[in-house]
Amino acid sequence: MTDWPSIVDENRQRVWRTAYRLLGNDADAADCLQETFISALRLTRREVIRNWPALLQRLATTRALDRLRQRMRLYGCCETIGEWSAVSSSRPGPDHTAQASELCQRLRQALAQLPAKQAQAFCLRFLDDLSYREIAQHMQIKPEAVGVLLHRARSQLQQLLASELAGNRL
Amino acid sequence: MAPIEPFENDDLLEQATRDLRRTPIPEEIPADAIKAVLTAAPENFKIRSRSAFAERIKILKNLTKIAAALIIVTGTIGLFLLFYSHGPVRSPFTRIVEPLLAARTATFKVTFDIEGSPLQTHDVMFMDPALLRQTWTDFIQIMDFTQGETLTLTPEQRFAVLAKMENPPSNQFNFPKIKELLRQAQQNERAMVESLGQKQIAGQTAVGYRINHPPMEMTVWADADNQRPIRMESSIVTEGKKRSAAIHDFVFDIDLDKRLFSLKPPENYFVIHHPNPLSPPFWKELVDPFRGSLKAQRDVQQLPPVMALMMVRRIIIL
Repeated sequence: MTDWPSIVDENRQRVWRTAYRLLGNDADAADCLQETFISALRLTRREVIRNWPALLQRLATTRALDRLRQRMRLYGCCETIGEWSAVSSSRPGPDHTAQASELCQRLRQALAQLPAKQAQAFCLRFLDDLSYREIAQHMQIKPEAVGVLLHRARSQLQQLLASELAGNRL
Repeated sequence: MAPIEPFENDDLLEQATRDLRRTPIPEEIPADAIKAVLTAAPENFKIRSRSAFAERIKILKNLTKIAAALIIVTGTIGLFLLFYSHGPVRSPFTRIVEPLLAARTATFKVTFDIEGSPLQTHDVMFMDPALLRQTWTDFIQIMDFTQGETLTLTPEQRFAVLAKMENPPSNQFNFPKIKELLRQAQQNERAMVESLGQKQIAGQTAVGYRINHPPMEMTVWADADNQRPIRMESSIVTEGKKRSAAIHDFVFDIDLDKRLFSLKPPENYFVIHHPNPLSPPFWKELVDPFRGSLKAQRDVQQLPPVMALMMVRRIIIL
């Protein structure tokens, strides 16, 4: 048996980092953190959790992507970057340059437009450094399917980034 | 941060991903969020855990679960049929000796072959746990191995010797002792039992096994078709002479009257009570006075005790 405070204590930094990286501000990341832990808590009523860190990381990625899609619905893909990051962090700006910050936001926007599984696979592979096998276990799919998802995700992201960049230049 | 795999011809995506990975993340998590998470669980809430085995089963694919279940069910049914329809798996030797070990009563013949002496056959009755009645040409011997007593009767002369059996000689060929040896062999089959293959015994094809139990050696022969024991042979070499005995013509579990094994001498019999007919004092007291009459006294001492007793009886009567 494990107690809940210990689980929260051991995993809160992992969940926070995942949420913050994708959402880019305190308020959304904090909401995502709460949703992640509460989703996990609900899950314990249905099944026994064997690997808490893996579960929470997957849930955090999924919830963060959900929030990105919500933003997409609210602000649309054609809105300015400023609106995307309207609820910004109260801390000193994390981005070293405005260009880097803009590119991050573009990628977030693009991720929000991907099918959920592709976006999830991309984040787990390229942001959380999970192996194909680990991603397959997380997503309960075959490792070969992970490769397909990643290939499609990259192709779509490339197109989205390129088109948005072209749109901005116009 | 670990390097990520290169994006082929995809500089913009690679750049964006790298920037996102490098996004500075504040160390401090809003306290309200953590408090909300901690209070989301009821007080004293405990997370259920499950054994690794149960968990492993749970994560198996459905097809694997079905296959495993089928194997378990088939195996269980197979074991059930094996044990309850045909009995447990037993070695051929075990099947052969089982009737001998399980017999409540038995009758059989014993043939002694002692080097330099003619063959002697007598009838034997056995009753569980350790009663023997041996009928020789001239006398009957009843032995109770549980009480350690023996009664020898010569019906013609109405003569009875009632005695204690203390430390019976190791070469004494008695059925309870054979049963004990068979039981030992059954439990240590690998070490004690050797297959002898097949041979013909009185027109029957028999399978044989040798039981090594130095200095004694025993063979068991059984009908090759039904595994019923048909002959047991035992031999021992003492004082340079080979003594053999064969048990044959088995009949198991027939009704025998327990009075046949009574150690009470019949009325009108002349009874000699002696502590041990097989002990040296017996020979000293009974044989020595007749030493002059015994031309082959040395040979008498080398005979099985019952045969020696028979000769002694003849001497006494004479």
